[in-house]
Amino acid sequence: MFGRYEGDISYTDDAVSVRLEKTSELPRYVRSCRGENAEKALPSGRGLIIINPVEPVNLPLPLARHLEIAFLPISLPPGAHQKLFLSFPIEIGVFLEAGRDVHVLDLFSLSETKFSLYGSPDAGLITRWHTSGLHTAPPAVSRYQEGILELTIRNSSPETVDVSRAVFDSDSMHLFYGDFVEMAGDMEVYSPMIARTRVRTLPPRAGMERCIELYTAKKIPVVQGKGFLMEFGVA
Amino acid sequence: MIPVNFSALTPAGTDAFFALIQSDENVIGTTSPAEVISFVVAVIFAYIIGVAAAFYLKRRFSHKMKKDQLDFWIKAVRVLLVIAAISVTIPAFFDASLTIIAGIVIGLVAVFALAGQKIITNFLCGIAIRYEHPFTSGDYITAGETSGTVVSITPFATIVRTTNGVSVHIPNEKVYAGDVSNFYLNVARRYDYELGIRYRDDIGQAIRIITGMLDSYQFVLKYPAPEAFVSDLADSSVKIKVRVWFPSAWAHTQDDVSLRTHILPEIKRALEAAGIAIPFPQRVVWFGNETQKNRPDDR
Repeated sequence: MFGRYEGDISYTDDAVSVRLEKTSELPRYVRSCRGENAEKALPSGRGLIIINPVEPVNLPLPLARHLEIAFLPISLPPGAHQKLFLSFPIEIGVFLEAGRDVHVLDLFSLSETKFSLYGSPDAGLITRWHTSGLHTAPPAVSRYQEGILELTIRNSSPETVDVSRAVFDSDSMHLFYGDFVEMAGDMEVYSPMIARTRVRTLPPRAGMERCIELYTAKKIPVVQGKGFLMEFGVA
Repeated sequence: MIPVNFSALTPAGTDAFFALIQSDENVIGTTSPAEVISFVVAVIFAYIIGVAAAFYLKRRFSHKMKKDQLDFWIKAVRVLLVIAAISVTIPAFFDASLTIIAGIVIGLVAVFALAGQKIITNFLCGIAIRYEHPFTSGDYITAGETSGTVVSITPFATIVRTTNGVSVHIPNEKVYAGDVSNFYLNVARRYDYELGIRYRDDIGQAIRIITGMLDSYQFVLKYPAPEAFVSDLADSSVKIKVRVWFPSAWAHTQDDVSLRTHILPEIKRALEAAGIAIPFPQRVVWFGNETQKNRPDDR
């Protein structure tokens, strides 16, 4: 399903169906996913249609701009670092590219949505919540439902810290797809309350395709490098 | 017929006009007619540029900024342009006599005095609201007896659109001096519900059903987790209180009433499916002539 389409689109499995219907009038984009349908007419001289995973913070409503991944607590001694593989939910974006303009045609998701509060109601933020298993090798995931996050956690604090969650800003999220959707990130723990997370701009493995990103702030290099400062705890 | 004086357009009128511009005769203090005309032309020019700038800003940013923020910047640009035009041309007026300046100042004071204290108070309160930011446009607030979404904050009033589509202008003084609840300021908001079950129903099972149902609802926050606990042993039922946290942005778009219509019916259905009933209020009355053995229990 992921890719760039100049001609027909036709993808159907048990959960989702995406196709381009050629009618006597205008071509029509038709999608059905988990009982929800979307239909749009396209201009006859339409451009390229691109389907790729996008930051999982848009559905069913754009209430959160951060992704929070919870996992089994891991105790990290001072100075230690650990590479982990986690799963994260994905949303699928369908784009219409015409010239320099890339327009979002449709967004849908096969994963369940749950929101959470990171921090306090007055100073915290709403996050898209996801629970992941803790793996030392890439886990098996459903390609159109979940992606794989390669996360390296470093404990820079002078004490052993229990880490059981990581929060990422969608502004600096970079997704890539190949056989699976993947991203690679780092988490530097400064104390049990404070850590910084970053998503790397390079693909985790060679040959992966970079996804079109919805959030324009990530085009600013300063924002990209800044990552997200978790100030309300890592466990 | 509308009488029209074309004399200004005639060659003689044009000559008189240019003669007036070129004359050394002062019209205000030491200000010449040419300086007065350049002042007027500069202000008109700044106004036209301001209109063009407003059109451009609206076209460029209307889908990226809140309406009141955009209006604020448009006003700021237009005011700055006019101030720039005035500041370029006004030095010529500095030689105006003290009497004229005093007259203008007294006139302005009189206008403010006539306009009344209320207007000044509302204006100052408007500035205070903008400075303190107790709410912004798009927030759902309750101010006094009015609840609704803030459409804009003008210098003198806050305009609120109620849920039934009525725009209410609340003077800024009332908003600033009164109690204002902003349902949108914090990112999450808690709702409390209370329901009763029969004394013979299993409390633990009821609580498990309620929390399980709430946990599966996508807009109920994972953390803080929903709570359900016995809050009262009332006359006719065991009261269970339910506390649920939602993202304010969602609860804002779906007001409190619709939240209840989603959550409470679902809880009722889930409880009834498990054989747990929500009892009606009831009172058992025993008469003195009834024997103890007729009573269904030992009470």
